[in-house]
Amino acid sequence: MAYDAFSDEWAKAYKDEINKSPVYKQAAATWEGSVGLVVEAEPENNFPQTTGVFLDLWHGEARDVKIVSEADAENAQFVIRGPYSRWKQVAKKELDATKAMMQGKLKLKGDLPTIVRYTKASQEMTECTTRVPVIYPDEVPA
Amino acid sequence: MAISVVFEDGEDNASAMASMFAGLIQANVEQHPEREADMLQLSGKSVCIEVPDIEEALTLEFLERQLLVRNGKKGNPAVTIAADSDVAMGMSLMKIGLAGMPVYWDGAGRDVVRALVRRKLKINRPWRIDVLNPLTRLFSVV
Repeated sequence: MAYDAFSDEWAKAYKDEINKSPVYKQAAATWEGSVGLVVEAEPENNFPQTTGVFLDLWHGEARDVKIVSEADAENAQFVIRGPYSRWKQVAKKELDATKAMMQGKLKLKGDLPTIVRYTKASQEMTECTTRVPVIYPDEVPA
Repeated sequence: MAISVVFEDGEDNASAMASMFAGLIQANVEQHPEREADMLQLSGKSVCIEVPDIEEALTLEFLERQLLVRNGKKGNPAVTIAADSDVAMGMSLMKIGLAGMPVYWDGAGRDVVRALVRRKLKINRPWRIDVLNPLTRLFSVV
């Protein structure tokens, strides 16, 4: 079953994938902190409103993953922001998230040493994204 | 002790990679004040970091308590390091061991050695440990 991208059902499926991942569990065993993903609107791609994804992550577990407002996502300890099409590229493994941040294609806010320390965890979180079947709004026939 | 970071072309024109690496060094020195000694040891020297898979390069010039960040390869760097983005980030995961020496025998250290052997990490003057050791300490997030 596929989920509408960045929907509540997608968020739940994403949370389940993170919690099923032994790689994430190990890589993030000492991680404490929330992560906010801001998916910027792209009306031309049928994604009309900027959306936030708030991840409550604690010691290798995703305690909660929910769809929130942009403002709420910005309140997370670490925030990664980018346009919808970039996030779609990351989810489809067409763009590596770390490279994207180094190129400025995704904007990162938060304590850099902490983020770099947990590179493996964030890579696995990206892998988890790719395991959730998604219906992208710009791929739905009109 | 805080170090100041100056972007040669202005902060708005700094590349994302430059901002990231400079921010990492700045945060590391703030969180580990003993690394001020590494800044002073590198004073008067510059290092170029090239990341070919994202077609980015920067030059870091160390001036006592100031870090001058220049886009691209500039001047006559003491050392030029070339590595793809995953290897470049991996270098930050190297632990610092006895006498401030980088640890090469654990997982992160072996990854760096493997990258060197496979020429995925190139250092034009590998004998310049007077530059490489303090630089590794400044970048290390572990």
